[in-house]
Amino acid sequence: MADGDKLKLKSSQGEIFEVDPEVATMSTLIKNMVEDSGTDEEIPLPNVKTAILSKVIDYCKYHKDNPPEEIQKPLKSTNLVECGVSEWDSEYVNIEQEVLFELILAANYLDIKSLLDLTCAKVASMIKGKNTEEIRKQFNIVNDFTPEEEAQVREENRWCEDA
Amino acid sequence: MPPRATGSIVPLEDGWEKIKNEGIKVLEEFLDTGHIRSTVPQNTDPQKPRNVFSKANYAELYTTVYNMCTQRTPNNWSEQLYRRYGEAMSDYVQRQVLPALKDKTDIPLMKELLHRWVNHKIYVKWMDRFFTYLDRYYVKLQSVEPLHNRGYSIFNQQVFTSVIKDTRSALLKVINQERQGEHIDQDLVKGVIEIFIDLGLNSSNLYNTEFEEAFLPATSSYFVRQASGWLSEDSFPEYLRKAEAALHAEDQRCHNYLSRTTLPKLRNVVILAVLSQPQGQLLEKETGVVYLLDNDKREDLARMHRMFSLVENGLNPIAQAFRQYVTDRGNQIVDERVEQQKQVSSKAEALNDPTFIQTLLELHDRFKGIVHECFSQDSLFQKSLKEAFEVFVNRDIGKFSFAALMSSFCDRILKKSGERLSDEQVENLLTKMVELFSFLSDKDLFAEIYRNQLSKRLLYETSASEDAEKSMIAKLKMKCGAQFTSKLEGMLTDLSLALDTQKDFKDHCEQLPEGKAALGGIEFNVTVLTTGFWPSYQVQEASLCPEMQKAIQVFSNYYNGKTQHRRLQWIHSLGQATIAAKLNGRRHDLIVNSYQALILLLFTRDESHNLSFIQNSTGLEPSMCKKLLATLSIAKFKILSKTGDGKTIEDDASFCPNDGFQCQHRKIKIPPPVTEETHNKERVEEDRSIAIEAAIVRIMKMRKTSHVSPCLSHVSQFCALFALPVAPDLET
Repeated sequence: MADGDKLKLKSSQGEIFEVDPEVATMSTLIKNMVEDSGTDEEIPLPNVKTAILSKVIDYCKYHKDNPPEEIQKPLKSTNLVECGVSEWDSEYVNIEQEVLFELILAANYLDIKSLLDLTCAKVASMIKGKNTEEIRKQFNIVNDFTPEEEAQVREENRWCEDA
Repeated sequence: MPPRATGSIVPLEDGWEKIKNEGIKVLEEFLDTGHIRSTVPQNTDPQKPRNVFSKANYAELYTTVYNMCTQRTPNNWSEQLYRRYGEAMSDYVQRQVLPALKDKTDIPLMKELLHRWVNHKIYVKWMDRFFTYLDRYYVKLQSVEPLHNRGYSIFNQQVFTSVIKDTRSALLKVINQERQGEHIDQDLVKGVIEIFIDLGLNSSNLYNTEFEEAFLPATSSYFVRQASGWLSEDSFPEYLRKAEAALHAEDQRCHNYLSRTTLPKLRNVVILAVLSQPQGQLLEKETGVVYLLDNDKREDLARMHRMFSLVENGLNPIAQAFRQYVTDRGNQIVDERVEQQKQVSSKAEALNDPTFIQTLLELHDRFKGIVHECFSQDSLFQKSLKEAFEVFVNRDIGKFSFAALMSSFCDRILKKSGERLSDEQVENLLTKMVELFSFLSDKDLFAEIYRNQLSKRLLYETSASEDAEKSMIAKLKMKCGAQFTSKLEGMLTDLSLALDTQKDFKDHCEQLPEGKAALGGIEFNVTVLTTGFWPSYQVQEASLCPEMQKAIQVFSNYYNGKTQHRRLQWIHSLGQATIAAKLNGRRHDLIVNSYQALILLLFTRDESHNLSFIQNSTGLEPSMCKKLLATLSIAKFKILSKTGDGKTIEDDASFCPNDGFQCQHRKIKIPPPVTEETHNKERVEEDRSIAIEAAIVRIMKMRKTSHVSPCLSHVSQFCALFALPVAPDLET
């Protein structure tokens, strides 16, 4: 494989994406796989669906030449831009919850730290400042505690609410 | 831990079976036999390592581990996988590696160990990649050893520990063989040494304690043995050659296969064994420092310096020997001179003979060259050289001091009559001369004598080159400061000002109503000098002839009109006159000083005069008068013939022009009588004590109170500024 040749990434649904090596190797997994291999084999990614892989590649292409800044933690605000996230990134994770969660999984699987940080920060910003009910509503969680159980959990975690 | 997407749960044993069959077994087969499945695509570039797994295999194994580690409890198998990672490796090591090493020693042991270690690193590399997800969460949360380190630890604990002793012996043995000139497999040694370093996991502990701590003492005892052998068999220079070669070989050894951190320790051990410890005995060898200097063995001297500069304080005894050697050589030359002087009586001969100073210059040249070339300008040796010269250059060598000899040496170079030297040679000699001069304590005495000689060169116009004079003064200024040379510079300035004045005076005379006649019909030039700059000259009153008096009057008027508050004092002894004379029918131009001229002028009117007449007419003091007459009637050019015995001027002698005078030159320069040297040691010492007293007063004023010794050192420093010697005078 000559330098500059594209890498072939294969989604779980069998679709092939041809990507510049510098873009693909933002994933530590892919970086390790292509290291001193020197062949043009397809790289199967059985845990990533076509739609999500495409989205991940968008992110990597954008950040290939301008690595994102570290996100300040704890989050100062529910608005990510105010936490030092770029407009592009902030817009990038302004997506349906379902897709966001799949992105988290893909970032973790592919080992792309900055994308994992960004997607997790997004989820954190959705939780920040909300009470239990609001959080349940936000994430569509059905309260399956009995009132007694709930009282007990609240008691155990009082330190958290006091703070 | 991030949640896993819904999907089928992977049971532990199913997952492990896959990892074992598709990963571990394939890897072990490769390590044992080198076999790779034909389905694995290979790189065309033979430089790169062969691929043991295809990307599909890789992705599958990684994904399996990933899935097993991201399932929710109770199906999260991180802990189990971490344990089995280690177990698989231990199992392999026990099964394959240990038996292969068993009962091996020396080279076979090293070879097998290195082979097994290289394999193990491949094992760890692949396992690390498949299991890498464990490193990211499980290892961090549980604070257990990272996979890579775990892999290395297994080799260290289960393999290396059991063979470390034999491995170390094998290494020391093979290094020893190399020291004795045998050829060894350096790559093998380097590889085995690297195991010590690699297994230390970013710390040099293992290498240090398990290898270096045995290697250094072994090295030390090897070189102690070597050194004692060389010491009894070899000469001093030969020993040092061997020592340097050994040191170089050890440097190379370290570079070839040891850790760089060993280098300073290794050097220390070798230096201690072959240089520091035997230094005393070495220097006592007959072929030591003195031998090398005697025979001008520059290469060996340089090596000696290189070698002992490695030893702490190792150069001190050598510098001391060097100083002693130079002192001895210098003293020898001075002794010979003193001996020789006992036979020489003529003053001029003693002062004008340049060979003694020349010898000292050569001596200095030679040792300076050695310090430069062999001792890399080491300040310690420069100091020794200086101290040695200071010893003999300040010895009392009888009637003519070093200061006088040095100054006369310069005079010889700078005078017209001296041997012909190129500008470059003059410059070169003067530079060397000033170096020698810098060792002299009596710098003030030198200055005094030099000033006298300079004044003669300038006034009698015998100086060969003004540039050379200036260059010499500049050199002295560099050494001793502006104060030291201010008078000398003043003298040169005086002369160039005097030229202007002469020109101006000439113009002035042409403006006068009588014109040139105002000067009494003689050519008349005046050189005005500044009193303080020049040596003090004796002023001898005399009745000048009317022409002279007239000319002097014209100049005085002119000068007083131009300047204020300046007093002119006429020094006739420095005056020069050219007199036309007809002797024995032939014309001559006689160049004489003013006094001689006065005497000769008496003979234009009357043909014969006795001594008392001459004395009265000229107003000269009797003894002076006699000396002057001697120059005219007894010395080489007998312008006057004298009655009586030819050797002395009797009180009743009378003189007349010498009709029998014969000389083929028309122009004759008649030397003036030799005047007493105006410099003398007493005067210099007087000035010196005044300067020292002034220094003491200034320092006491500054400090109010002072103990004697610090005060003494202050005064010394102070006086050093003016190039004055102090110590002997201060004692009183």
